[in-house]
Amino acid sequence: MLGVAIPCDGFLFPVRSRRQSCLSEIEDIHLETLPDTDAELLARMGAGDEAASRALMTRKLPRMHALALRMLGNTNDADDVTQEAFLRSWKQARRWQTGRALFDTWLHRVVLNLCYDRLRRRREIATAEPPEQVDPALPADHGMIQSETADRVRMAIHTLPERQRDAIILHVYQELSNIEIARTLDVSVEALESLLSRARRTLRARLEGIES
Amino acid sequence: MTPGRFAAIVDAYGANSLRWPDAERAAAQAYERAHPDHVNHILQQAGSLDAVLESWEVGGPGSVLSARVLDGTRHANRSFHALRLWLSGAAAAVSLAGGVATGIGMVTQHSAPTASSLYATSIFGTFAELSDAPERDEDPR
Repeated sequence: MLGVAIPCDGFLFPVRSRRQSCLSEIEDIHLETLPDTDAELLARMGAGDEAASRALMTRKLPRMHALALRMLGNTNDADDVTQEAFLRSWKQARRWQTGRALFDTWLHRVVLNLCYDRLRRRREIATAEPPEQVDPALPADHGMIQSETADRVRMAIHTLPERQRDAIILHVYQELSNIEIARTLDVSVEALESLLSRARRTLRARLEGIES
Repeated sequence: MTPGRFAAIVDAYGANSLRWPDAERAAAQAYERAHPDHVNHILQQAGSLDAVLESWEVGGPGSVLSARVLDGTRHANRSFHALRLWLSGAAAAVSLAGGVATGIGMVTQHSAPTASSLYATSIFGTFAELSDAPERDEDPR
């Protein structure tokens, strides 16, 4: 799914293949010239500044936790993933190179990869123990604010193909730009548009009753 | 901005112009103002779906998680600095031990004669004498 990948700090960070040519040069330049508002905090965190760690956590924790919770549907798993992602960001802080990627995009990628690992493990357990399988995809718990509409939306999104699901979550709920989402998912902007269009068409059909 | 491109943008990114691609937002907004009859239906349909999708809210992280994350990074920070201190101490110890060993080796080499050198001196003379001895005349005459 992610194409070629190299291990980086214990997780796979995607490397774009030449064939994919994910973003045009213009888009690359655009992303790399965006000011990374986290860079200064990251540098201070790498130097052991606890106040910087706290500030970065305050800035990022709610969004990263929301991403993990929407992906996993379980507060305990979302908590574990978020904590692990922040630990990795601390490890990365000392060797972070400003200009190569936005920290926010990188952190989204880390959280997503950790969520993929959890979802894969759930599928393996569900396959190994079919009698106890209830709904390994998304057991809703108290972390999810429930309403009938919200529950239908959650179900509809989680029955989309994985790439469409991820694109919709990153776009609608994480509010990343199209270029940042393309970077995070390692696809071209054109491919992202296609993923979003197909996802929205499917969702419109599945949620038609609610819409009217 | 063409009608087709405007429709494609809304189809992919929804009705909220804040979510449209940065590079095309201004042009799409201008198109929207210039062609209200054409865009109204498209925007209305996309806006309804946006509203439904936004109804899926999740709770925020608890204070326990914030404390866990901070504790985790604090612990990692301390471990890192402790390891760095230990490594620098170990490196200093290794270099000190290396220096002492080299010093002992040099002193031993220069001051204490070896058993073989004593043997050579006492029985066969010194190596210098042996090496300076004239070669035996191999003349067959």
